Amino acid sequence: MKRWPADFGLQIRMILTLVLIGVIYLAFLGFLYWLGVNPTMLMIIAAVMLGIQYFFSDKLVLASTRAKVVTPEQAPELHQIVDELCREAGLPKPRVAVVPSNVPNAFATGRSKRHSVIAVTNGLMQKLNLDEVKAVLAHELSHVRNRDVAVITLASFLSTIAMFILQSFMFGGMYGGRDRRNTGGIILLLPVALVVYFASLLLVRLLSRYRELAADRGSAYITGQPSHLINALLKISGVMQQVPTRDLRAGGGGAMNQFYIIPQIRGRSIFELFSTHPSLERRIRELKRMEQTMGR
Amino acid sequence: MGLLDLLRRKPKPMPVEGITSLAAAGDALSSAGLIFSGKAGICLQPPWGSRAGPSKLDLTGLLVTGALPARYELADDEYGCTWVILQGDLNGVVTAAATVCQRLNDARYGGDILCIAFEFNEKGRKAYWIYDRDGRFYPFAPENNEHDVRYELHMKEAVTGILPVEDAVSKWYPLWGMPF
Repeated sequence: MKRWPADFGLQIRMILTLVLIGVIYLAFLGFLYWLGVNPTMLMIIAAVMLGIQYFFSDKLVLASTRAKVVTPEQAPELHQIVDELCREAGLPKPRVAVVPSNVPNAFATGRSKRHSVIAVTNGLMQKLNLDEVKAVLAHELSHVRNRDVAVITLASFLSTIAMFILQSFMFGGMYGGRDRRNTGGIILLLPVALVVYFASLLLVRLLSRYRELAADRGSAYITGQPSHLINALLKISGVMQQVPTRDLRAGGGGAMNQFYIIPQIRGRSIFELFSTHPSLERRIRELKRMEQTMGR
Repeated sequence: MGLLDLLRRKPKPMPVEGITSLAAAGDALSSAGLIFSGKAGICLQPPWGSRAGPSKLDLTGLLVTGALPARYELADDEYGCTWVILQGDLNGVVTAAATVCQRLNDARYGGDILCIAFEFNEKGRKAYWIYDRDGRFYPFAPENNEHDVRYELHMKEAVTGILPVEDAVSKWYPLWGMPF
């Protein structure tokens, strides 16, 4: 497998995030024992759920996106690119799938390098040039290489347990009677589970964003051209289409703005904290930084 | 602003507080390769449906009421807008722009200000920071009558946390052919 220099800052942040998830996890288990709630059953249910997700991730994702696995005869160009990139990255070749959609996008799934699938939409092949398609596929192959499905599934364990507790509260009656030692503390369970759920979700999403940056990095090293991924990201994000071309002075919105009845709501959204992907600007910045170091 | 203001078409003053943050961003900008060209323009366009904007005489009157730390002149463009063009160093131009806006606000002409464009040089080509009516800056990097979006995002990234930046790219309106 081809190796490239790690970004230590990124690795340290990933490790810290995982450690934090682990600490919350242990604290939460401790809390459940203190309450007298036996979490074994919950853990088994969560493990089964995530186990299904883990073992069938490829089939689940392919089915939900209507992606079709294609043979080299059906999509020779796509297969040729994947072959080339796998050779470059030193990875076994994953299955290749195509999603019938005009929106340019791509994803990778599968629990291990042997069981992985990478999929692209028709739109990706149409709207991106060859270099950009390569950069996107190299990003997806980096996810495979970094075993991101396994990492994220494992990290999600805690938030899944907390979610089960919240759900069982909503349907009621699960924690009545039996071997409970601590009746007073049970009232704390709902708020604690809620906090644990959101905190762990936040951390998993943070981890997910770090994994995305790591995959961007992988793409840059596999292709040797960080700028190809930048161009691809700009096309996929649709940001190009959002930037207006009409002059501000031609009623582009500026002069009318002051007459808007409803002031436009703005400000940094809290949902960014829960986003699975880093912001476009962040990704471009990191790739540009790599462009400089690789050029030297 | 209230419904009554809307019915009266009472113009909203131009927010002035954000302008001076550009002076503080000077170092961050130059390390990102953006050097202030020495020029900026305040664009005045009377808003839709309201009375006419300030006349050239009114404007000159406002400009001469006190000393400004930058040279100034007036210009017109093909959209019928009047520009107050300022020249000097970044600190002087930024301070002068804020002062002129405040004077226009005080004279109840603040609603006529469309934007302020600050011109920068980047490797021989021009890039702008546009200060809009929301009191935020957005980047504008024209290239052959198109946005160089990639560079605009780079500009935005360079000043994150220093300048109040307009996050919505759908509001990054271009200004093609400014008279300076």
